[in-house]
Amino acid sequence: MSELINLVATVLRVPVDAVDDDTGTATTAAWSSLRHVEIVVGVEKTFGVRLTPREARSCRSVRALRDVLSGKGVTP
Amino acid sequence: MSDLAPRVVESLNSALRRLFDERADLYLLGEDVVDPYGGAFKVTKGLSTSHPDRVLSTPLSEAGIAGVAGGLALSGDQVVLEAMFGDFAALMFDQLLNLVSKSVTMYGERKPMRVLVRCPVGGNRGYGPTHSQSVQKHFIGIPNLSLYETTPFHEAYPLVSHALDHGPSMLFEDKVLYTRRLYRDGVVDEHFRFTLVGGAPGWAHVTPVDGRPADVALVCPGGVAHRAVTAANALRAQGISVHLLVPGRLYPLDVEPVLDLLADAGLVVVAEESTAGGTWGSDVAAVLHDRLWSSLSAPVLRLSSADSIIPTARHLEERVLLGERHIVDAVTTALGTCRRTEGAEEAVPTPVASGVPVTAPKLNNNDATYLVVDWLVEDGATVEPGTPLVELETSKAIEEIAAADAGVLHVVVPSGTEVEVGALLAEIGGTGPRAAAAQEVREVHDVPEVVVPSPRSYVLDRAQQGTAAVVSRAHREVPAAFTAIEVRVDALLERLRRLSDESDADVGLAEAVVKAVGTAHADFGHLFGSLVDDRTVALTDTADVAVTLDAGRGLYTPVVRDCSGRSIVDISDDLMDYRLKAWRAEFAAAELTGAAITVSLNTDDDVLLVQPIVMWPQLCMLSVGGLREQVVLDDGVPVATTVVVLGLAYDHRVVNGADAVRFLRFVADGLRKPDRLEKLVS
Repeated sequence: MSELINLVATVLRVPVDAVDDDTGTATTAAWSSLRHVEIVVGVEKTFGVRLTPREARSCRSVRALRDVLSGKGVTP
Repeated sequence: MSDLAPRVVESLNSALRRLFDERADLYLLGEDVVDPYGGAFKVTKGLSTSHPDRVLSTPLSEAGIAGVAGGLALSGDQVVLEAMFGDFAALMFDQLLNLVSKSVTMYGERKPMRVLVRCPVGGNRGYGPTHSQSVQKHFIGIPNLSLYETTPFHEAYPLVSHALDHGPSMLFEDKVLYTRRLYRDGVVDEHFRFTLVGGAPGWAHVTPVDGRPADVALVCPGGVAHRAVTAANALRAQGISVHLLVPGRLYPLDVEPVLDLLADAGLVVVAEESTAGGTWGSDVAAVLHDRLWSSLSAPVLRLSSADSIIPTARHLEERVLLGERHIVDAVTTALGTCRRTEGAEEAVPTPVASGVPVTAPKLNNNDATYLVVDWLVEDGATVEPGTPLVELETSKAIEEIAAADAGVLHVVVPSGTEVEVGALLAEIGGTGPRAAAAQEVREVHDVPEVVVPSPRSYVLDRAQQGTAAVVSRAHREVPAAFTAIEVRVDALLERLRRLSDESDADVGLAEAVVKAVGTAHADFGHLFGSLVDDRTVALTDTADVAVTLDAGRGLYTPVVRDCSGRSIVDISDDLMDYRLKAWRAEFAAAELTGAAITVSLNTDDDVLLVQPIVMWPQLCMLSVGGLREQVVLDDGVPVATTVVVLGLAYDHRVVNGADAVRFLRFVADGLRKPDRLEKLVS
């Protein structure tokens, strides 16, 4: 399982197998705005990247996070 | 071929030789620069022999030759201009200010002005008042003009070519540095190493070989580097880890590559040789205060030479100019360690004060000034380390400042004075009892800043002390009343979900409430402002709304500007930015000041109702509780609905209850009435 999935599951406090690329604010009530910030900061620390506020606010699903990381040359 | 590193003067000479070989349109102008004299400091030695048509001695007219340099640059050539002494650059000032720098952006398109003015600067040579100055400060902040300084870490060729290609520029060359050798291969001495960080010309980052993080980050220009290295070694012997940061370019200064290091340091120091007042170091400190406000644990310590002309007599010159002993003493004083090296009392007096300064420390993250309430020791009395000296009032919290040194107290600021953070309050020592007391000081090690009364006690961190000061003041000064209203938000939440999908933004209840409060500014402007005195209220032109954010690293109240005029999506961008900053604890001071009203966000599940304080001197704070499911009767039919409770604490001296209810209802209607809701999200 990818580091990204693990990270999101940890922050959302849900089982790893409950998280997939579709997991996001639209599908998961636990993904609140505060948890969102926690996820963004966790991604920054784990993958050594810095997200702009605009990237941070648009990364509202695992898929979106994966896309932003790919754009920064990181394979999550 | 010698294995020794070149001296700085040799490095400069080689750089110029290489540039003349590479650039056919390069000229060098200056007084007595041709061979056999080769310039006052021999930087241009040999150049006129190899390039007699382009290395030209000029009449003794700095203004004239600076004008010629401007003309050559306007014609597409490039010029290195030597001021025999940097002091004489004053005579070039008009040409640099009004011709050379302005020409870059005077003609409708950017005109490269490849002019580099080389200025030998600095003292410690016994040259006297008009040949020893560090004139960098007089050229800071001139649009288009960049300032560089030679350092023992930066090879001259990349520095000079960068300065020339990004001209107009000035290169300040410390005279004492000329004869010192460059540090090479990342080695400074047995205790320190260095690396270059950031893009060209970059910073030299000098670190202890043991890899210890920085107790002290010392920023200095190249001319001070050797003094800083000596001071760093002396402090190392006292167990204090010092990192040095030496930029190749002084202005504009690119602080980004070193911000993280500075943020992590216990103390940030800027040291320079310039005489005090309006200096480069002051400019750097201002930038760092702004960028690192929430990370700094103390004001940036600024060290410079005294506010004095520079004497010719060497023993007097030493008293005026910044020296390594000054750096060591100031740092140990600032750290409050009371540690001294052997012979400290015989050291050269600190240039800027006759005694050890007692300054107003940064006590919280909210106050820019403090009130000197009372001196606890009489002026002229002898004090010991740890003696409580003075009471400072922050936002109505009173803090005692204790002596860090022994000696006679000389009060500078009387009781009842409002002072800024970092202001000089008093000086300790200088004469008489100090020498005897210093003997005792040497035996004191690591005097703790705060006495912890028992193992089960703890001291609030500074961020929480700041919060404590604010809420204490609010509690003591503001006769607050409170009212609350319940709002059904089903339609709002559904609309925000759609808006989030449409805009790819995270727009939630917090953003909606902030926007709704901002919208109320037009009708309830008298609630947006501050109480100036018991009878006067200052209102604001824009709805600048602070929000409470706590990500576990302290409570912050950053300000979202103009919430009336900007869209809810814009506001959500700001809030996302602020949430990240709250998590990283990296707010700038300007982001935390100037609110007209505050929204307290407490939207966690199960939160029923929040009674906020009023952030003095503001008039109101609105609170938002958590979302709750309820069953209500809708036309007699029970239905499930989602509600939130908005609360309003208000200063009852200014706002009355009926007005508060009208305001709350107006905000609530913005969230629940369909027509108002559409306006809110549009």
